[in-house]
Amino acid sequence: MTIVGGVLSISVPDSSDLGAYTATVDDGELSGSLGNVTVSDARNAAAGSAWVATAIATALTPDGAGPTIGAAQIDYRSGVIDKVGTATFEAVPQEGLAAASEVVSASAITGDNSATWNPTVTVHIDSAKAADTYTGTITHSVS
Amino acid sequence: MSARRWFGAGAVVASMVTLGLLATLGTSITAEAVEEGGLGIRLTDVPSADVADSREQIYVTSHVAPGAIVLRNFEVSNTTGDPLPVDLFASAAQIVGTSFIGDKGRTANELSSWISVSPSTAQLRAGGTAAGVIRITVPDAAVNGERYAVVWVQTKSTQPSDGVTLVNRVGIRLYLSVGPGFAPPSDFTIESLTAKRSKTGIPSISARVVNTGQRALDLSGELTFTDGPAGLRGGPFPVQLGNTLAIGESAELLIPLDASLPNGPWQADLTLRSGFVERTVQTNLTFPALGQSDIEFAPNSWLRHYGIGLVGGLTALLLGGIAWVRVRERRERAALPPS
Repeated sequence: MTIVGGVLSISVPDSSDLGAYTATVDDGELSGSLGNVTVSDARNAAAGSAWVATAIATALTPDGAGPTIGAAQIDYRSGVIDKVGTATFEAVPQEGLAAASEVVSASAITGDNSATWNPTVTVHIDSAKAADTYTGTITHSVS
Repeated sequence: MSARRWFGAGAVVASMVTLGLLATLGTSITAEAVEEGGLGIRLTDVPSADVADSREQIYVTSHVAPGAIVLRNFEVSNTTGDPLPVDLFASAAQIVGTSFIGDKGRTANELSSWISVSPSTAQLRAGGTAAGVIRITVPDAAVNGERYAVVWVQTKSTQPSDGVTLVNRVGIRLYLSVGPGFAPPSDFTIESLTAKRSKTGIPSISARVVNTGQRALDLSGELTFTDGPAGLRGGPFPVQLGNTLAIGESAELLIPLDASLPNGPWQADLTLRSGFVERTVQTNLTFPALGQSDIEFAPNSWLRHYGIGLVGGLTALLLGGIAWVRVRERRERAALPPS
């Protein structure tokens, strides 16, 4: 008889609105929610199993010719984690998303478990940034 | 879907910096509260030779010789109500602190360069699955050692090209060990247990563990207290923080405890395991009182238990032996005729 591991899954991203930021002479920041991220772990709780979710961002680049907002200017807070199942979940706030950074992890897993969080990102915008529409990518990874 | 976009203004209106993201669907919040599903991945086979290592069911932890080919079957699934285009690929990973972390994007390393994932893209229908194969071709000249990577299945939010794109991905870890013959040993030692009490009075134990083997470890375990005040017992309490331990590294694994646990003294038994390697140490310890600093304890060794007895026994034997020889000499001298 073979027991095969179950599925590790992540929710499919939905859209969210960070809104608009009115530039001032001073540096400032803009915060907003990315929308729910859910990780579900239905693997068979093999001894030592765990999962680690990371977040990373690209720089936010303007349509025009102005300077980018670097990924190091983006902070991430997972906020309250909605938990299901027996595991220990840890939220790790990150200042800067330039490298793949652990944001939520699960260990001491003894059965199926899932975690849902709606992260808040805060973008630090210094007064040198131009008025424009900025685009970029935020990636959540779990393994 | 209504997209609210704010564009850079002219001279009259105050300048605005926009992070152009789309508005959430008005009805989607309720829908998300119900089972929204997601993108999943799982291994669908376990090589029979490795079935004793439970980690092989969820990760690729094979040990193979240079020149070998490793094949693992997997399946990706879409449990949402919409079709999902996905990409599949391998990329580099490393152990950072006590966490296994996949590198960004499609960063390559030696192991990921040996891996081909097929298919490399798929269109998953709502509720659908797709089968895939991980093929690892280890070069003949591969150097011995363990390397880390992840096989990812990745999707994106459906966004127009303006705005912040959200990408989510889920993956299977690989801890591939290369070398001739049998797998190199996995081993670890539990060096010390430190009893702590937080400022709010919550006791905890942190165990310093050193990876003394040649494979990374994914540790779990539990701590049990016996022989406490008035014969009390406590636990088992699971190891909660700290998990993946790189070769040659040491880490503090944290075991938070119940606030109602008395200071002790206690006999504490800590068992840790990774795959099929398991170690247990026993320590007699006492927790500090509130406001006192942490107390570190070494695990009991056989010398502690039996050392005094053994040394004492040996000494007794030795003294007894000397005494016996002396007695014999006296008797022999007594027995000799006077010269």
